[in-house]
Amino acid sequence: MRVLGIETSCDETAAAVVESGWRVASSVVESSLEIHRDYGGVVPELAGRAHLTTIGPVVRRALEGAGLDPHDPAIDAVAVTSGPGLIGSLLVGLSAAKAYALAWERPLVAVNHLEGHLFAPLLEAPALRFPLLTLLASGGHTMLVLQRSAGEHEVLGETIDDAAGEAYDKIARWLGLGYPGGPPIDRLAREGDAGALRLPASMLGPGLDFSFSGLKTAVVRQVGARPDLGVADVAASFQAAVVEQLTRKLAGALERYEVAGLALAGGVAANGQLREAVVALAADRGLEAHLPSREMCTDNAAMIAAAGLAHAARGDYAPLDLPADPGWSLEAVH
Amino acid sequence: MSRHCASPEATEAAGEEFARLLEPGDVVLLSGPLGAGKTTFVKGVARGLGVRERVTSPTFTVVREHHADGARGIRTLLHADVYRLGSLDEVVDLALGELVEEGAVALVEWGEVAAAVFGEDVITLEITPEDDARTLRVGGAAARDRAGLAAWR
Repeated sequence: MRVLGIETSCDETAAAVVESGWRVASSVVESSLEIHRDYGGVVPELAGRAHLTTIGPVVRRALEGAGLDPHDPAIDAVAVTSGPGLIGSLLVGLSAAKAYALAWERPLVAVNHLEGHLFAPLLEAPALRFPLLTLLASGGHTMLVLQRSAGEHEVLGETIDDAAGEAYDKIARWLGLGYPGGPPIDRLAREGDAGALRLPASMLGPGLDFSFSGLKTAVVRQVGARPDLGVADVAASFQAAVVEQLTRKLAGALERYEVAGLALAGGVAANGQLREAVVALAADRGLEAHLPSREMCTDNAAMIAAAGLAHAARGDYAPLDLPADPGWSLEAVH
Repeated sequence: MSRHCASPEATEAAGEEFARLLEPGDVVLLSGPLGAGKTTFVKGVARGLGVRERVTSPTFTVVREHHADGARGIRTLLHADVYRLGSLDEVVDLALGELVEEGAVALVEWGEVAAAVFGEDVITLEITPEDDARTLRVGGAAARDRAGLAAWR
């Protein structure tokens, strides 16, 4: 079985071809940054409009990259992210996917973006064993998910306010470090003193939900009273608190659930300190941790095609009048 | 006169109280620096409107829609955050002003940057932090003739 995946839920326009056995035949990701370069700086402000200019060429490149005829590709289905995400962005990918499905007479598969992230580890480590505990942390989401098999998942806990990546972005913007906030904070944190600020640990109870809004407030407040502090010290203190909470909840889930493997997914999975902490935790519990490559952390269409393949394999197709669902929760996916 | 809140709990309680002063069609622009307690305040408003589901940050999806209990004709709470949007055009595209006409109220975080889009007929709520305490101050043309909001101005 071979599936074309299309992903336009946020800033990236992406298309990929994935085959049975979790084999990635091609994967193309065009970020807004590259559009800047392609168009010599003339970038449409609307994310949706940016997707509109790139979706056609990106799909063609993905098909050609997989050695397929872009006019009549030998694929079994077209999978597309139909939520959650920005409505204007989602609609571009969804409309394109419907058009391809109609023109090529192939079935359409609706994929939840978050379920896509859960398939990312399988693409790089097909031997990963279930049950698998995945920490999915990005700019829009932070959740702990237990997967009993590919496509069979249970959300154990999630953020009650801000996502971890969102806290990074907001603190970085406040510190004048630019967007996205993860890389500069991760880099600066290595030079700073993590004990410079006394930040309160959040969500100390036994539950598996996360909270990052209060941490953000505590950083802003304490830094205001400490004009002597350097940016590196603030970055180190903030990052230590985020990583502490993420790994504490991960450890809490390991106490309660019997798992065979541990995986990270989402943009925050690229964070160096989080990766080190998770490797240490896994080693301590005698588990193997899967750390995704940078390409697999961020939004891509290979993970969407992979999730689509799992749905297509059981004949789970979507009608051509499928609407986009900007608030589609992972709990609602079966 | 403005509203003084000594703790995050008090800010949330103030939000709950504020919710009872809202009418269908209201657009509230929330302003205040990072960490001012906008999320905390919105959680209180949601509770006051009878929203049962969890109110998480709308930054990623820009707008989240919550079902309210319908008291005083308010059936929907639109929680928006225009922080991510790159231009005023995108704020116009959200069409919040049209969406609230169907028995909804909208709370917009970082809305002050897009004040021009929303026009005069809005309620503004400015949160000023000072240590643990918060000062809440209501303004805007839509709040002017609202007797219940007088104590918040």
